[in-house]
Amino acid sequence: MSRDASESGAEYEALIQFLYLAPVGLVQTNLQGEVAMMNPVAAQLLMPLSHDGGLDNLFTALERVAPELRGRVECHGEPYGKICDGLHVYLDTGAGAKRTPQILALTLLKLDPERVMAVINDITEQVRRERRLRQNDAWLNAILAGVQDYALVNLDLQGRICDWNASIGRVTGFDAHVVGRPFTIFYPHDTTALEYRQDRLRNADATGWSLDEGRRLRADGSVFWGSTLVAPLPEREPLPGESAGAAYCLILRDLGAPKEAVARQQENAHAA
Amino acid sequence: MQHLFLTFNSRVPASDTMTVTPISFDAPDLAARLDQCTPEQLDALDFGVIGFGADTDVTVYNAFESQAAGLSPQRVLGQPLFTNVAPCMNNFMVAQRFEDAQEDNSVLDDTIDYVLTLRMRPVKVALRLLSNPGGTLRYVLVQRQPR
Repeated sequence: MSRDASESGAEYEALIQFLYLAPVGLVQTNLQGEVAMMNPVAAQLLMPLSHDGGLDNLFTALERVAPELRGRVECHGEPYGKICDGLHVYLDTGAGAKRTPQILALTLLKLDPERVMAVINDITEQVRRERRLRQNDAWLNAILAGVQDYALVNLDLQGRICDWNASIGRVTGFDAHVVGRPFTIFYPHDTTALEYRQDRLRNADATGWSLDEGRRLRADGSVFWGSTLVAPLPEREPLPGESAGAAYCLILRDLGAPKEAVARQQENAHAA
Repeated sequence: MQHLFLTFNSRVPASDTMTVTPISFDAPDLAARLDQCTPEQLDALDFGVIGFGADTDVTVYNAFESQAAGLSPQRVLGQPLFTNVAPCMNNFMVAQRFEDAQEDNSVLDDTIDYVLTLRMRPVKVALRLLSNPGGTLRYVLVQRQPR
């Protein structure tokens, strides 16, 4: 009996510690928001918001940043179910507090007609990352829209064109039907052998990039002098449930009419 | 030998005779006094004592705190305080105060109202934060507040 008691005591202690260390805020309240149970991360995240120095009521603690919570719980007619899922709560914590989270994600789950469970996460870093990514996307879109002499093209693992953008149209004259065709469509017909394409991709995989310069072909059949850079992209394995996406980027630069380019090459050779 | 004897002798009266007043939560110069306490003396205090080093690893966890939190000292000692023992204090109100004091080499002795989640129940407490530039240990002291 005493052995059972000490075993269950140890289990209780392990369970307590598990909840102490869970890296997510957990709170159980009644429908009025009065806190019955709360783990340490919930206190860590909510204490800086408390105005009365206490955390007796979840809705009171979040009153200033999420005043709608009380009403949303009251309006939830079902006996159980999600009241809100990952609601972003923006905190106004002021400057100078280095480790203060700025954005919380709050999920409220009605357990039964008496109890509500809240899950609180600090998503400040995640939101910052997503914002940086969106800004990078905007930069890239601006470049794609504005750049004149370059075509920027995504290729799949086999070197086929993944998608179309305006820069491809401007430099090569090809339209969106070019998607799915091998990148050697930009090359004169005598250099479009499959081996050539694979060699370029293997070379890019081995050294990080592959650059060549020579005659290139536009959609209307005219020829120009261009350089082609192929570089492998990181993280090219498709995500579960997704078809294969971009595996290489290709940058095709229009260096002018073939004669001009050859003349320039000769000039450079003389100068050297 | 003489030095050892003197040190020993100077401490004995405090613990042996019951004439000294027990250390209170709001006593002045408390960090230095706690440094001198034996584990038994710390366990006899009626407030929680968590002592931790420059690396934040916990080296002192007295009986009051152990009982309140429901954690035995062996689960806590040697663990980093703000991430593994008391994540509820890992914010600008507590952890950053210690970081700032360490960075500025300044004295920290402040008492704040706080809520700890002792056994998942939110409990109003007073926390006294103690850090001295020359001290070996820093302390968080926990006193329950009457509700």
